[in-house]
Amino acid sequence: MAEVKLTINGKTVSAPCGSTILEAARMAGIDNIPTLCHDERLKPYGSCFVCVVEQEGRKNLLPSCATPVYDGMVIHTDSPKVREARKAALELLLSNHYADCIAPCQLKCPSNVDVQGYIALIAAGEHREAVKLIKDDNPFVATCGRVCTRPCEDECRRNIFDDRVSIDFLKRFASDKNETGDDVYHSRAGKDTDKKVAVVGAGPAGLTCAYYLAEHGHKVEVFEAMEKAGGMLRYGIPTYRLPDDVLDAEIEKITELGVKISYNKALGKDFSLQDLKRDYDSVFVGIGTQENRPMGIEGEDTIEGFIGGVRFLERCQKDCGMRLQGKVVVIGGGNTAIDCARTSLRLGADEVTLVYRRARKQMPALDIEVDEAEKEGVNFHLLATPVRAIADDNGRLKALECIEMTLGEPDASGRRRPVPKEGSEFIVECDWAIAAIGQIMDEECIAGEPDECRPELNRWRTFDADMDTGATNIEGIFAGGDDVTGAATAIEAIAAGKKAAYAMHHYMMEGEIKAIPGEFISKKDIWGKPPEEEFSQFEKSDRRHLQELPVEERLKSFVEVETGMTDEDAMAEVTRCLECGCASVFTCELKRLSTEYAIDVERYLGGLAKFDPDDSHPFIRLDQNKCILCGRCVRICSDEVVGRNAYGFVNRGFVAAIRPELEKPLIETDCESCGMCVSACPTGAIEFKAFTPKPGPWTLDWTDSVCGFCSIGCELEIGKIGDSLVEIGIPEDGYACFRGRFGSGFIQSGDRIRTATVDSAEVEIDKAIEAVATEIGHYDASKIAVLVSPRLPLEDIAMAKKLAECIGTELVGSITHTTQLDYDGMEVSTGDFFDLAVSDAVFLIDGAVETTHPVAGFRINKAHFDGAKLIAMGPNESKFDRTADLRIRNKRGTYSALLGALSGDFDKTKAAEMAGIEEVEIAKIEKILETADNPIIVYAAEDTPVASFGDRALIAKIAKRYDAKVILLSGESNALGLRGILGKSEKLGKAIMNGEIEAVISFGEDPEGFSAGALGKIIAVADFLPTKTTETAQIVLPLAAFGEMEGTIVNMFGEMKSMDPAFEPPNGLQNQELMAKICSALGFGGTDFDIAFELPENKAEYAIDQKWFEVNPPRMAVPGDSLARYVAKLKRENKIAH
Amino acid sequence: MGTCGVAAGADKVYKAFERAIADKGIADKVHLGETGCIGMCFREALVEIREDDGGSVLYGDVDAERAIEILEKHVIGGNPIAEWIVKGAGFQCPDDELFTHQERIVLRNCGVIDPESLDEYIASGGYIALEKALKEMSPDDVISEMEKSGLRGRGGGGFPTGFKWKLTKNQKSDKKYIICNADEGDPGAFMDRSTLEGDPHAVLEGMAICAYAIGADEGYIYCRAEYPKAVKRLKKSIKEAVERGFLGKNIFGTGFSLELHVKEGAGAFVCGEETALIGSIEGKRGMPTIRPPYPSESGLWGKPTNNNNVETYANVPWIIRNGAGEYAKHGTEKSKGTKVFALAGKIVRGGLIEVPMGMTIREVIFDVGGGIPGGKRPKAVQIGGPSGGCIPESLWDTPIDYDSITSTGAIMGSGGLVVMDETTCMVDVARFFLEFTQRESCGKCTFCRVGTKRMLEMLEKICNGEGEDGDIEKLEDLSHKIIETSLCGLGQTAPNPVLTTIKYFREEYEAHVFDKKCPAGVCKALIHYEIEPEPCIGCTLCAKKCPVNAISGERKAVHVIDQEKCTKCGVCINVCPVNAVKVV
Repeated sequence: MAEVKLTINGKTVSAPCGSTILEAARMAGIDNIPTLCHDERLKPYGSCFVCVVEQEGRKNLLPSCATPVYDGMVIHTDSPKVREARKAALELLLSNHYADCIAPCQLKCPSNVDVQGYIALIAAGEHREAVKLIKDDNPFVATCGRVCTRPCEDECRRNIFDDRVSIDFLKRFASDKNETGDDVYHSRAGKDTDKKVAVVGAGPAGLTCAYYLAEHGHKVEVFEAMEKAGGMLRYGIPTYRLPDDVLDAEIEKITELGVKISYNKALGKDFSLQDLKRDYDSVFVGIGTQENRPMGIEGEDTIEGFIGGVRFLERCQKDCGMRLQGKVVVIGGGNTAIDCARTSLRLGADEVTLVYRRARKQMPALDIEVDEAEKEGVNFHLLATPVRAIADDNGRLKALECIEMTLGEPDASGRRRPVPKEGSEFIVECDWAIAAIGQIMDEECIAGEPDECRPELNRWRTFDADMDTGATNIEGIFAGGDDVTGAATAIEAIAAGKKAAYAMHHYMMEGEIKAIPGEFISKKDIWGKPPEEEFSQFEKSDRRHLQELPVEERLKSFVEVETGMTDEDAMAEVTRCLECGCASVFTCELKRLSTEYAIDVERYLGGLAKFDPDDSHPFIRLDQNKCILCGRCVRICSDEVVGRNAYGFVNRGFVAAIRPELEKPLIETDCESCGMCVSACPTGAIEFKAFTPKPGPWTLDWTDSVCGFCSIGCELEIGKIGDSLVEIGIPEDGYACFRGRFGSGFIQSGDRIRTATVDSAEVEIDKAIEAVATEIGHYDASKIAVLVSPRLPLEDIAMAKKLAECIGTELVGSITHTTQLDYDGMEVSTGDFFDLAVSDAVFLIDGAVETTHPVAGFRINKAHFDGAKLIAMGPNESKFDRTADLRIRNKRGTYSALLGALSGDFDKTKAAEMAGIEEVEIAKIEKILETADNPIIVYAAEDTPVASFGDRALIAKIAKRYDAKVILLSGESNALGLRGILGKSEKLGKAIMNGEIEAVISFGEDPEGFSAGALGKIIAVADFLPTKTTETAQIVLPLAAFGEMEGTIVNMFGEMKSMDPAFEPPNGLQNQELMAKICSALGFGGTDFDIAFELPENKAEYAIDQKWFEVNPPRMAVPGDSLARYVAKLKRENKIAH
Repeated sequence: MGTCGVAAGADKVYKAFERAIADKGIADKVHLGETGCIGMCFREALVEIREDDGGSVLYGDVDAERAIEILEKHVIGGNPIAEWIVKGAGFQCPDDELFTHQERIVLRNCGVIDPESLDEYIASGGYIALEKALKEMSPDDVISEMEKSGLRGRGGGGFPTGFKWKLTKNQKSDKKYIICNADEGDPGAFMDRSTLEGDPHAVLEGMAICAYAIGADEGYIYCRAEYPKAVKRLKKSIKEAVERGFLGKNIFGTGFSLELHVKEGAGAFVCGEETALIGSIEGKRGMPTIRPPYPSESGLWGKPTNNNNVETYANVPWIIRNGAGEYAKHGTEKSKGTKVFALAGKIVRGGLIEVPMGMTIREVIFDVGGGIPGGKRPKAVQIGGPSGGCIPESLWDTPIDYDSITSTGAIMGSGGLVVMDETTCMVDVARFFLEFTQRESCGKCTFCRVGTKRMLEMLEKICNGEGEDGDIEKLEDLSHKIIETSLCGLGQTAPNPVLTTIKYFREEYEAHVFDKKCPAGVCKALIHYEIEPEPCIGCTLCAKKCPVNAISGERKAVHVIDQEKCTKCGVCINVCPVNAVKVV
């Protein structure tokens, strides 16, 4: 192959002639060219212009994905001009991208808790996973599930047309479920980093910081001034809202990571920042705002009975026996004021009045809290404020003098400023006044620090720390929470702790303070709040609430008011979530590049082309609002690969769009549900619908596996979260069909056989195995057949053979893979998909390959699209009717005649007559094969060797005659592996023919479905789904299915492919272990037999027919089929000369 | 009759003549025939009276009534009606100037012969060149002759035609194609339509010569379906040429065969781009693909394909017949021959003209076109359609050739020339062209699809008086990016009208952005109308004609416009007999 030499980024690079710049760069290991429209499986297109590069001496930039290389080119892939162009391309794309990467609820959460993700996990019943997910951003799940101020709910899109989702209640629900479940989630401390951190204050900020630092492996010591941890969570929130045991349990999960808390250690008294700075690698200060903001009125400090809100709550937290009598006035409108009022009622106050200087609408307290307070009997005196405390003769509080207020002009915060009404003073008699108008930081505790250890304060007298990292002006000292922001919410403090932990970790490990990296987030809101019409597809539904104690019960004690959510309510509530965030947020290439190129989405903001999402398809969801018109879906579904043409372009200019054909809903097109479009889409415009009730999205656990539906053995990736199957994926640029992608959902279906039965009664697996052994004893061992499915891996088949040995029978094999004849038919493909890709003539035998082996159909389309002539022979209607160069619709059952005619073994005239075709058609086939340089024959006509051995023998001759490669396809994933281990199973074949079998043990076969009663008594059958045989068998055992099996298969190209289990098989037994246990029960292998089973390194050792593997050595799998890439790979592996 | 003539009522005139000739019973003495467009569009409908001795006069602005008078007085009476004559030896007609500066090669037969008569084409020397090429020249001879002629592609790119043919000829293939691009899509351009309507055989003959030279045996004429008359004439001409052995199998008995098809395009501007055009013929969406491979290597159905436009092919027979040397005498050193232009806009004599390369813009506009009407000041000329640019009056001494035009920032394009005067707003012009290209973008490439839309939005913003400091620079920046990062000519040239108007009329943009004024008085958001009391005579005409009743005033008293109601439609200006309405 001719080579060209060019220079890329100063490096001389050679590439095969005809390569594109992108391919040349990638072959040379230059991987910094991004692209959105390029797809290894497709011809170059060149539309997104994200892959542009600069060529010296040319003004225009070149799309590297589509520009061929030539000698002497000098290319720059990352120059400022290139980067600017890419950035602009992304900005233009995003300027017409009406979509949310992440739901507004999550974005609003100060700690970015993945609300949509955990709601979807709750919907899937994965409560432990839900808690785990929340804990990625917030260690206080149970706590926040009770006391959070829920900024997320304010942003809920449901507010636009209905009522918000009860997000926080659901968090509480997940937490409750997790805590009461079998497997409570505990996070783990990271590997010891040998770094020590001091945290001052065991409030939400400090403990959160400690939690994440411990997860990073740092040793954390927390210094707490009080005798218990929790800070404001404990001392500022009454237990009827947050019970102590809940908080204690949550803190315990932090200390069990190795976080040490030292109590009664106060900063400024017991230790100083100077000490900590000296003794620790870094310090976090989270001392909060513990002091009441003074009201500044007469008598406030001197009169007994006038108390600050924080102090009041703290005191009643510490003193369980505390009681309160008489009339109470609470001053303030925040949550603390409400807490004080409700607490006062519980302490026995006769009457509680809340005095607030603004109107109810302006109260900063949560609405729900205010409602509850009102329900419980708190009086509200709004638009009033105390001006003086009046004492009785003993110096005890007697009354407050208040004044009426009116609302004036809005102040800087946008709230209308309250103005006193002159002469409106009035007296409120009271025994207690609790002022909860705000909190301030205690500056005293750092007063003694030397300058170099005392962080600077800002004008609000809190630490002047960086909001993204917590870094103060003192190196190594970080701060966060109320002592930075002023009194704020728990979730804000938690967020601060999380951010500081990240920054401190990087500071200690890398010497650099880093903020949690920001990502580009596409937001619908940049075009304004979505209009109500946009939600017309959703039904309105009532919001579900928590169960609560009746009011009369509540006031008697500090028992928790809210008692949790019922399962039914929770399930109803999760369905209300609109899933605003994009399901492709973790995989979206557009998002990744937008982050990498730090785009400014507002730069080219303008008009939008809006679309209604298409939800018609059961597996695939379309949202053209996210489409960037790269055309990959159109192209992959065209005759280039899939051949369905389900998508096309419509309109011109800015409103150009990709729509399903004829602008119908996707489901009404010719779509065959292969999901290739999904694999091609670089954004979330075409997405899978998850197997779970809601799509998440989540970061999934991926397990490599191999598709079990046919002998191609496509590589699949099983994506799961917790115990739930979410998605079956394919490797980048891979291929799969509708069965591989969607057919495997059965493994979690309710039909699965999961337990053993004997005579239809459920029994323990070991009992069932014993029963099998006993039953075997009732028959003549040599007349028992062990049947094993060619879909099971080599290891299982080998063990089945072993089991047969143990039983003492030679009858082992698959019913469909036996023969009584010796024949010369080919068994292994001599060509593979790479040969197909470079062939110039494809002779497809059985044009219905598109349904039996769809991926082979895709590969054939691709070869044809690339210029190979296509002969498609077969009686069934197919895609190739339209596209093949020569389409031969022969009559059923006439392949052998035609193949005989082509091999020279049979008369052409007769063959044509039998096949019902013109004789000239045979000559046409010959002409095409003769004139081709690299012809290939693809045979997919029959499923079993029994039926097709004759054809295969003829094909061998034809292949020889035309020097053609051959691809043989079978219906079963491990047909060749079975053949390799068990040979031709002639004895089993003969026994079946002669009716000699008395009893059967079957693994994954369905002898009753094959021929009822023909094989004698079914002693036992193992399978994963019910079959005719499982209906009649005496003993039924569960079999590990796809996704649960571990082992190796040999596909029809002789490639070995291994499957890892993603899920635990039923009873925790792999199939070979199940068989081994039966062997043990029969008295073989001793007690260790089942666990002593190990896979030899060389899989070929399984084969009795060693020669078979020698003749057919496993071949190298060809990844993708980009010619240039393949050549490059060969070169890297020194398989061809440079 | 061309489409333009018909639009001006030529078919009614024709029928009037027909009826009158029959009524007068002189059918045996008079031959009534039709021709294509001669280019004097501003005087349509045109009637030429030809004498047996070869003398002829051309009447302009003819309607059915005049037709009868011409027949009676001139044809029967022998007395030409001098005041209606626009061209004729011995007659004083200033519009004659339109023709005196032209050199007509492509348009040699347009308006002269009956385009539907193969005989007339043959009589004018038709198909001689093809016979000469087939019988006396090898394909290499033909290509060499073309190279010597210096003909460059007239579709806009200016690629040397002979060289292009050679590229396709040198490809080894069992099959090659030839394509004629007749997908003329520029607003205001009608050169190709007039040529196809006026002299279809010239194009067919040129294609046949090319097919012979490159080794093609099949070809397509991709013509927009909006040109029904051209399509009809092409189909008829192909049929007749096949019947006479000028096309089809074994042409002139030489064994050379050529099958030509007419493919009607659905009107996508981008299909004028050759790869999109090829895709469209193949039945795909008209969407450009990346080059290389160029069509000369892999074009229609993956076969080597030569693609030229109508005007290019129409030149070919003339060159072969008269020789490359003769052709090269026309034009300049690097741009040989002539160029056909559609002259339109603010010009006295708008129409179809063919001038030698090298003539200056000013000569074309003033000498051929008769200058700007109404004594208005000239401002600029838009050349090259939506892909071209605006050349200011200060540069009108630029000679019209490929390189000189390109150096101004415009392009030669296919031949649209739109003249603008002081009443034209250059920002509005840029907006107009961008609106066109953004709508016509196929939508494939990011920069063209979204970028032109964003540019259009910025221009609309500026025209609406909402422009901000930095917008002009942003437009320039985005323009350069679009030019640098588009796959095909549409995107690569779409910003040209914007860039050239900013380059030459930046102060006009700045007036919009900073002063919120439209100096030309065009952008509605930035202007209002006022009636000056001085000249107003109170005729009430404006008040009567105002569609929204925004004008009030007593008869013989000064009228006043209610600015709240006024929609700035401009009717008042047009109807005011004393020019009292002013744009402020």
